[in-house]
Amino acid sequence: MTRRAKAALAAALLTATLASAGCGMTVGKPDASGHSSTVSGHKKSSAKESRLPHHGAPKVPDPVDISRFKQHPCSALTQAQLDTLGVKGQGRADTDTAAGDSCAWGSGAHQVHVGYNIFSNNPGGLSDLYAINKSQPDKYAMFKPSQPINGFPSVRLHVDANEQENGVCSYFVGINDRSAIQTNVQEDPGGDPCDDAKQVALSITKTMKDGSR
Amino acid sequence: MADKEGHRLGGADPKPQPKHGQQHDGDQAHASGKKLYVDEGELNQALVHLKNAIDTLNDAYASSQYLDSALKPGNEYQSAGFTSIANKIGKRKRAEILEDQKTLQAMYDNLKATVDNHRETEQANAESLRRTQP
Repeated sequence: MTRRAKAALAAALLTATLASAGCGMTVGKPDASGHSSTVSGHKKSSAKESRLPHHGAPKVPDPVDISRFKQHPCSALTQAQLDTLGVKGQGRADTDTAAGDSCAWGSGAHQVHVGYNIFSNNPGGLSDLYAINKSQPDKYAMFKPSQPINGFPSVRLHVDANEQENGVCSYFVGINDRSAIQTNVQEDPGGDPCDDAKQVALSITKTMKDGSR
Repeated sequence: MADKEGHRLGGADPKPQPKHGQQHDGDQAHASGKKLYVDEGELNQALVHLKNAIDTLNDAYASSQYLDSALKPGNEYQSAGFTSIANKIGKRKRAEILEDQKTLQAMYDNLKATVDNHRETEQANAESLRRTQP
């Protein structure tokens, strides 16, 4: 085979490979609902996905795209917000884990430690949490749908019993129908960690809302 | 070293310890027992280690909570079984972490109080010495 023929064959193989790989490949940024468009001519979303929300989860009335926070989760709280909350220390990001992408702030003994996680691997956002709670009613010590936070539907969630007495509390917030976050506060017992977890959720959702404009 | 049996694990050679009844040069027997040397730098280093350990436990606690609400890998029996076991282990681990945190916080408080007390005593001694000097 001549060099020219070899080059032509290689080009043909490459074209064929790219064509097959491109089938169903995700392109572009996700829209505000967290949904990604796909190469034209292919299925945009499955029937199951279009049924969101499910299992009694509320619809997110004003969805926000949070894809940029998945890469930089620590950008969800500004320094001014951390100062206001009285949280010390640099943000510690932990991305691409089984649970998703998270950031933690706060450092040292007797300090308030806060954090949040984007459930990147839960494609149904808040609906997935409702589904887990429905299929395993004894899983959570508390599952309490609460007032919207910054307009986003929320659930006060106690994974374990006696969390509040131990200075721990967390909120689940649906940012769009496909993405949810969990804010978490750990502090010395005796305070109101749930009010603090709500404050953290308020600050984070404000940054996410502002960031999407 | 690997050819020789019986060496200490962990790689680091232990500091030579004085044999029973022996003392290092310069160690004078105190009237009420052996002298206790306090190195403030080392104590502060220990405080930093404790602080870092507390931070690590806090992060581990939060991560474990998040994992509890992550969806199981698949929809088959094995995934459900794995998730159930993992959740139970996570619950137990969080309880342990809370206890460890309390212990470390208490250690931190005690050591901090010791360092502060030592510093105050040293300052008072220096002040007292300065006053007695002509």
